[in-house]
Formats: sequence, structure tokens, C-alpha cells
Amino acid sequence: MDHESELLGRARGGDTKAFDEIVTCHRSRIYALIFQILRNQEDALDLTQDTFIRAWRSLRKFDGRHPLGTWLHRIATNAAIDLIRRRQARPQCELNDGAMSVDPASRTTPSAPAVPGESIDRQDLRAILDRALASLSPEHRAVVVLREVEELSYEEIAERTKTSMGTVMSRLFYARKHLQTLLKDAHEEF
Amino acid sequence: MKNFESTFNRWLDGSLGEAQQREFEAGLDEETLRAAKAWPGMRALLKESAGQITLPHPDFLNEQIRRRIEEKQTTPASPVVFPLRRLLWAGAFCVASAVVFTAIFLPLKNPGNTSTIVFIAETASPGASASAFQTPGDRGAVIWLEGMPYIPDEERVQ
Repeated sequence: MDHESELLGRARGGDTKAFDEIVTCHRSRIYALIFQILRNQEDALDLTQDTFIRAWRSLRKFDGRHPLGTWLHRIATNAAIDLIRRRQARPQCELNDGAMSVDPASRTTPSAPAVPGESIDRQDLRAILDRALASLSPEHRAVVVLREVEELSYEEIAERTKTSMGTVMSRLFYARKHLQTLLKDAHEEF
Repeated sequence: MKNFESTFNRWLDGSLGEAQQREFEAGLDEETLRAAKAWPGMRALLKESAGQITLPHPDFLNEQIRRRIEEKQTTPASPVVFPLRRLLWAGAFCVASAVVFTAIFLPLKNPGNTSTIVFIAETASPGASASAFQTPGDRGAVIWLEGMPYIPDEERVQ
């Protein structure tokens, strides 16, 4: 029995110290995932807590067919998607895929290097990419993160986001096009 | 369009067959092709960027989680609160029941020849009132005036 299975067994028996160790092992990855989707530190911290609380309550339901990390990842994604949906009920931003047009001259457009031909260093590129990601709606960002960073299949994304494959494809298409347009000045640097 | 979106995604993921890829790329402009070439680099940077995200005050997070678990364990189960939606449904059910009850039982309380009070009006004079009655089947209503010493001539029915 590996260490994680042993911790899991103890946690299922109500051992909070064992669960605390599980939290320590997975907290950074769960927080990073939620933060990437929501782009808000406070929300990400709250949802990271909620994720582990939900996991604690459902430990007995965890069947062990998948790794614990995958299970936690699923809970975290669901929590983030649920939050987006709750906020969607209070419309704040554009949510139509088709409405996501890109104005190349808009203020969200990352700037090109000050001197043409001058290369942008990696850190600047990351900052540009972060700003471009932040300019996506949460729904579009979630799909990009799940596909590009978490490498989930289209089917898995549809299941996690509780949408159809068509919606996933559409969101991914518009999000990718949006990012490509916003980052077109930096394409040579990638 | 949906088909194009789907093909575009698969193309960017590199999962199109060679012939399909050639055919798809033939219909794309230079800018899109240039952006697609940069995409793997962008993807790598996205992953790198995700790896740079650090959890602030990690031990505080553990502490908060521990506290919440302990609270859940010591706090007795909270009483079940009747959800608002159920209350609304219950209210609607009560109203519907009242309507059905009225429709079924009220006519029985006014069988055939019992007269119905159409209105009762109190007047400014103490003890004086006017009432109107109607009996089903009759052709008119009875107006009953009570407590009035006399009816002025100009008001008297001829």
C-alpha cells in the first residue's frame, strides 16, 4: 500500500491529520487550476478550501478507480464551473461565443516590443499571455485551461463543464482565435 | 460553421490526417497559418505560466480547512429549513385548493330558493341601512330599507 492510499484509509476513518497531509500534497495544484480559470485570488482561495471540504465529506464515495489527484481535480473544476454559472445568472460580461469579436487596436492588445525586431523575454511573454487569458470570459478561459494546460479530451471537458461537445468546440475555437489575435504581435517570439 | 470550428480545433491539436490537413490548410489565410505555427510555443508558455502560480499562505489554508472540518464535526446537524421554492409551491397549492373548495361547496350552501344578499349599505343616520336581496329564479331584487323615519317624496318609487 502506498503512502497516499494509507493516508486515504486513515482519513476515511476520520483522521483529520491524515487528511491534512492529503491537503498539503494537492493544495498547490488545485489552487493553480482554480486560479487559472477564475483569475481571482480570493475566489480561488475560497474554492480551494471548498474543494477539500467537499472531498472530506465525500471521502467514502471515492472508489479509488482514478488517482486521488484526478478526483480532487474534478471536484475543483466543478466548483469553479458552478461559481461561473452562479455568476452567469447575474450577467456581467459577454457570454455569446459569436459576440467575442476582437479589436486589434483595443487596449487589451498586448504591446509589441518597443523597438521592432527586439525580442521579448520569456517573463514578458508570460505577462502578455496572462493578460490575454484574463481578457477571455470565464467560460472560454475554463475550456482553454482544461484543454491546453490540463490536457483533457474534448469529451472530458464537456463532462466537466456540463456542456455539449458542440459548445466545447465552439468555445475552444473562439478562445483560441481570440488569443491568437491578441497575441499576433508576439507570434514570432513563441 | 460548427464543422469548421471542430476541424480548426483538431487541426490546431495536430490530430487531422495528412490529406485532411493539407485540404484544410489550403483554405486558410497566411495570418492563421502563422498563428498556428506559434501555437505550440504558446501552449508551452501557458503550461509554464500555470506552474508559476503559487498558493499564498499555504499553511493558513490547511488551518482553515481543519477548522471547518472540526466545526462540522462538533456542530449538531442544523434543522432542515423549508426551502423557499417548496414554500411557494405549498402556497400555490393552498390557493388552488381554496378555489376548488369554493367552486364545489359554495353553491351547495345557496341551494335553490334561498335568497342571496346582494349588498348591505349603512347610512349616515344611526341604525338606518339599506339591503338588497335576490332569490334565484326571481326577476327582480328586493331593496330593504331599515331604520329610516320616512322616504322623501322625490325618492319614492312610483
